[in-house]
Amino acid sequence: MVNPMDLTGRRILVTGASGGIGRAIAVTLSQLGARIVAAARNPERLAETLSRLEGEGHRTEGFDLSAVDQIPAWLKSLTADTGPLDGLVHSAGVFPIRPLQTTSRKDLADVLSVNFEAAFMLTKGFRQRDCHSERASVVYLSSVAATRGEAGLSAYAASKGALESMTRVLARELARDRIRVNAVAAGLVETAMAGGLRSVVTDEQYQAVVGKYPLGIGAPRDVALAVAFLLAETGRWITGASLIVDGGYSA
Amino acid sequence: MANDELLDGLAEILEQDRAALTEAAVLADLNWDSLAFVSFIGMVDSRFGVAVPPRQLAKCRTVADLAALVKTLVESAPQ
Repeated sequence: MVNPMDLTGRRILVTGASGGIGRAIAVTLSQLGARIVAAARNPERLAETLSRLEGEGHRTEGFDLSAVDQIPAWLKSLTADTGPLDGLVHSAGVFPIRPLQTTSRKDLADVLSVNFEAAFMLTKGFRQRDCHSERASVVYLSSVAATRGEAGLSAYAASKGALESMTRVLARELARDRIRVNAVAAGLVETAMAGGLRSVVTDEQYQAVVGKYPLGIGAPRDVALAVAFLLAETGRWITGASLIVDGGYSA
Repeated sequence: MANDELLDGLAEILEQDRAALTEAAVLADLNWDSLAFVSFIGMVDSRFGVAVPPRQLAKCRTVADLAALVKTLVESAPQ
């Protein structure tokens, strides 16, 4: 029997691998046979992620994506060591809930930097010769917030909207380099980031949010499997797509 | 007595003048909605380093209630 989502032998960089969705992605991809480069800032959480990966050939990379300009050089030096990457998953990001009036220009810039600019520079780096293989695939973690407005998410939604527009352009532009580019537009998933939501709203408010999801709140693995689908042979003819994985929220 | 920095932050969130934020001022009369609620928690975390439990915040009716809640949290926070 063949597993069409088999990722055996593929080397995949996952940013934001230290928690929540990023960790679930790294774990799920490793279960499908991928060799993971797990990147994040926090060494302890990164080590915890490493300990949960299945199979061998994995490594961690401590890197602060706020050093946006250095990202392409980092990728070049990383791949000089590991060999070309088959996949890039950008799962690092922040999810601040803040009304317009208290969102400063710096707040906006900080959100755009890690959620969007880092993705831009990672892809720019990934595209460099010798950094990617012949069946290369990029997946950005986007959000339903990009297409469905919710109060308090101006900077966040803007950063994800930028990601999705960029996905479409780069799908066309990088097809000649045989790099597929897609996004997963996730709904609310139970993680520290969104579990953070639970800690800043009352039970009634939380239930009101959950009530917008026909299938309830998601689990990190739900998103991870969608990422794997896009990276594997199952995604061979998919590029420029933003795959909605949201328990029916957008329906 | 309400804390100056707290009142400044609250004034920004509610888009009210400081003068309107008397101790007895009723939140329901001051644009206090679910967005203000969440923003208040974020603001207190950012300015004072303490987490406001939503259930306790939901019981606050006046500016004085908010100030008292934050004061208690700050005083009982580990150093």
